[in-house]
Amino acid sequence: MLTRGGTAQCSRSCSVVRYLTQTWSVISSCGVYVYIGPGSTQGEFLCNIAVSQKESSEMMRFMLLFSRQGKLRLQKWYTATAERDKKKMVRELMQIVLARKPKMCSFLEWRDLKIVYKRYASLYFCCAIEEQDNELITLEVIHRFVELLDKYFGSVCELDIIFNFEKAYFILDEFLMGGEIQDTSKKSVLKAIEQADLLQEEDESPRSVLEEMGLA
Amino acid sequence: MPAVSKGDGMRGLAVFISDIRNCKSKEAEVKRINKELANIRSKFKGDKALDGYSKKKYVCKLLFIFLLGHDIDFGHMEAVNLLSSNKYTEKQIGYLFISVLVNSNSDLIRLINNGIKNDLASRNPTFMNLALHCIANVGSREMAEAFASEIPRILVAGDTMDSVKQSAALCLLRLNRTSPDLVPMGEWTARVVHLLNDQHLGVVTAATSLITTLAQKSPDDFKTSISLAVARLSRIVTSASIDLQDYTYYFVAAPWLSVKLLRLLQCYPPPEDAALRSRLTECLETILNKAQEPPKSKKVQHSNAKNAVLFEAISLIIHHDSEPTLLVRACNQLGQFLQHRETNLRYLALESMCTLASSEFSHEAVKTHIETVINALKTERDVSVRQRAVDLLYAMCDRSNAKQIVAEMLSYLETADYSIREEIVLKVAILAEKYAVDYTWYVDTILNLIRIAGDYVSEEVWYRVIQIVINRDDVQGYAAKTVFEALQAPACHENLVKVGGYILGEFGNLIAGDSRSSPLVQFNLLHSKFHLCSVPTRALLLSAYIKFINLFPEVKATIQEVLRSDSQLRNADVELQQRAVEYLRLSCIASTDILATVLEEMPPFPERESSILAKLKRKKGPGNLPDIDDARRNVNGNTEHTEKTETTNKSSFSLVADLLPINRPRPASSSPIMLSAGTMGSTPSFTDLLNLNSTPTAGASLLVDVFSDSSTLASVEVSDENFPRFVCKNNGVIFENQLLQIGLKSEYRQNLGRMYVFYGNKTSTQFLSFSSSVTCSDTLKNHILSTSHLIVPSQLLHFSCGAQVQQILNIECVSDFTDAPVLNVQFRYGGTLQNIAVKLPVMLNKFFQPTEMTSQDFFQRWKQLGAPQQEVQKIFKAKHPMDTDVTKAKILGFGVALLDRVDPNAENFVGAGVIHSKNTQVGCLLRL
Repeated sequence: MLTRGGTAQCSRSCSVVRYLTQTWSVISSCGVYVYIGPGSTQGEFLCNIAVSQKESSEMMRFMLLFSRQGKLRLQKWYTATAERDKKKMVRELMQIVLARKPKMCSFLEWRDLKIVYKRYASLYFCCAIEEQDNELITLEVIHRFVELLDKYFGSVCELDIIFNFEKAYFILDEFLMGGEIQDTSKKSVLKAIEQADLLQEEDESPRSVLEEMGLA
Repeated sequence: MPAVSKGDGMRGLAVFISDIRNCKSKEAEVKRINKELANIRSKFKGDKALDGYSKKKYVCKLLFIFLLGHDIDFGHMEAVNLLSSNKYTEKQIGYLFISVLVNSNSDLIRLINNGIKNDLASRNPTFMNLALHCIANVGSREMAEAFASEIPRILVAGDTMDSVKQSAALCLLRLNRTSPDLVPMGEWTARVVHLLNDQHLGVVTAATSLITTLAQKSPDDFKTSISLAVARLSRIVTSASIDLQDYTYYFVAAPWLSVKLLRLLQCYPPPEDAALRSRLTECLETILNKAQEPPKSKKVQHSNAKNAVLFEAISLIIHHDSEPTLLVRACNQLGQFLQHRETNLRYLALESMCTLASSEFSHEAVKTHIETVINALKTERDVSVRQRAVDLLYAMCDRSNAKQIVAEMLSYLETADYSIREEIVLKVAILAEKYAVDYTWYVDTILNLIRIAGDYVSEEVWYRVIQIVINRDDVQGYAAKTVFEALQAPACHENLVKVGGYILGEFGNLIAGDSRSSPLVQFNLLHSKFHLCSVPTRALLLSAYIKFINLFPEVKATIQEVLRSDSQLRNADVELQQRAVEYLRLSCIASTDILATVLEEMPPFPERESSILAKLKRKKGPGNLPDIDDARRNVNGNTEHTEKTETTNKSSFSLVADLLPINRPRPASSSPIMLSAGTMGSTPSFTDLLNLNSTPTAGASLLVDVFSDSSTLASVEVSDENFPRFVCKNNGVIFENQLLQIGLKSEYRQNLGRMYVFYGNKTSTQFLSFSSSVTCSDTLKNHILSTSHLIVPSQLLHFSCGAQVQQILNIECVSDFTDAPVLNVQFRYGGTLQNIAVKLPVMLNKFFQPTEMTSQDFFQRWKQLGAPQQEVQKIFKAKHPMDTDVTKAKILGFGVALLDRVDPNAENFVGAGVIHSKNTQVGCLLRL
């Protein structure tokens, strides 16, 4: 099977090449994309297989906030993802979403995920959900999160999220956990955050400006 | 800098952020960051112990830098220290840093776990929540090991605060997803179900998510949740008076909870209890009714929330697929949405209708919307909506509307976005085949496809049209006529030349009676395209020419002339040259009889799954593609999925050459045929033509997790009882139990090997989630066998009784080795997971190439190998009397050449061989 026919050295190496290409097609037709070649390593092999694994459950995979200029303002990942992949995905998604026109629909298929996005002023809120997930309710998850930010910061703007990024994360954490909604009540979420703030204020003791700037 | 709102104390951080924002260039930003990093590093390393506040501030700055996209390689320790602070904000920043930046540094994880443990035990709800969030955010295995048994206790304890319960439920959900084996089921599960009755709607929401996930894994344990979920849903949906306060969202009562409850119910079939069932039906009807009511608010949030519940209800109706009235109502509702002014709703309606189309109750109802959908295809401005319209047309297609739909898709294809063209081509090809009443229409459609979008017509599509034409003699004449006409076009796509070449080569005689398509005209037409084509197409055309010589003796001289020309006989491409030489010779020396036998018409192809369908499935992934193959609409018997694996097995060996029907048994001595077999073997386009030797056409769901659970495999005992038998032979049964038989057939050539593994199902039922993989021990991986070349085409299939499935492994020997790889097989049989591990007989001696040498050479070399480490001698007692023939066979099977009359002692056996590995070749001599 391996080398049929030709006895010349050349035709033998030819068929080896083919036999590798064939293997490639065999494997890729199983749905598992594997690169086979002299350079491929075990690492790549495993990594590629991991990509094609499917989780059966439905949940949010990640949420991104980015500006019209393509600056990432907030990112939250609900499944373990390698840093390199994250950067690649963010770049790719920003490009796709920013290129879309205003009247287009808020959903799109991307890789094996569904993307739900909405623009609020200069910020895009973008969620990746799974196949069976409910797109419309995800759109309202985004809206509720915006409402929470709005209520907390008092008509929120991009700058609030830049300067108080840690607060934005805390609010998101109170609202969503592990990709699932924790509490849909605006009151409960804000109560939790305000309680935390109260604790924080008690903690703080006044400091000199110099000390604040790390100059003392 | 904006006015900082409440509770902010970290002015240094704000100053830093402003600085960064004021940077005019990327370089300036990097410079500022590096300065800050150096500052923080010196603070952390400094002699002066930092107070909690400074630590918090610096950790926060590091976090900010990280989120800007820069790498952070220190500060983890300081963040972990913050966990043990008793100040809330410090703790909070510490946890935030960890959840954003955690790496699997095991020392750190232990310390983090310690911090979490303390906070969980603190009984301070805010601290407990922080700890639970951290576990959920990180979700690592180490954390699951440490806390998986603790969290259920917190969740069901009577005195746990509501907010902590919510966090605990979702935290447990996350752990269950990442490490399900570590979350113990127990008496807490029953109590979790009762959280559906909780007073606090936030708790119910979180608990519903958890229960849904658990119920997907073990539905029986959570059956009691059905009635509770229906009751809860009914209270939310049907009682208008109920005040849900803050859980009412833009006049919609608890939309999130409703969606989650409806999703939970989708884990189960319709309730058996009649009362419960009617209560659920009532809920679903109410939801459908509400869609008709005038909106209570003009805000989009109101309609979104309302419709989110509606779409989820429709999903449940489709899932149950048992209430025709509900299905038809759902379809009508979606029909209204198809013309809604909101793009989002049109998109979702098209998407949902796709699934409705597969229900026998609503298929007809969906079909009534065909005009609207076609219109959407033409007018929608958003490509993702148009894509949905294509999907829906594909799903609603049946015999009655196939011609219309295929025509619409073809006309859309002319202007379609490049990103979706290939998929449309595949869909058109499938529909045309599936619903073809007369095959002339099918042939026309495919040729149109090639004309309109030739570049997007993949091999599978044109292979398939050839398969079908060959298998159906009623269409052969028409096909020949049509391709002949299509080839008249001044510019035609190369794919058309391929199809044309093949079909005219086989059936050109059927139209040769007409003087306008006489043999010579046909040949000239084909040959006029020859020079514009790529090498594989030219190779195919050459084969068509030799077939012409058989079909039409009158053009023999012309064709021989063409073959004889320098551009063929001395072509730079070895393949073309070889074909030209061999075909020319064949046409000169073979008698008409031999020619007629050798160049006979191709035999029909074995029926099996359309390779196009397999391709589309691969493209879309399982479950994504509405299954149009249910029995109800399976009209054309010969195109259905008869997934006969035996035929696949056979074909992978027999279809060496496709145009020359040499796969039938014939004497090996007929030299011209052997010659062409040789040619074919090295021709990529030809052995692959019609894709017959691609093994895994099997299985509908090819994408499901193939390599999961690999951790559990380690515990399985490796079977190697049959292993020794394979030392001297390459084929046989390596494993057999009551369920499964695994056979092997292997071939080795130099340092490469290929092993065919055959799985036979001995039972009368299906194996589910069948998967197999090959693992090598570490030493084998690193030093001996190149794992990159030990390839596992991981097939995953549900294969049925009596069936046999084949898998191919490719092996390359890189350097010498002693261990053997292990084949792991996994499948479900009767609900239990079966794990089998078999040691594969891949041994060093398999890579022997026998070498012949004379007595003199042998002993000269033998003596050169005098060093002690170069010789191994073993004396063993024969268990059986030595039989010369058996021993000879064994030595040959071992892989070396048997050298006769070499040793002075005639009783001695002598062998010689070379072990080929990628790196070296090692000569081996043997005396027995």
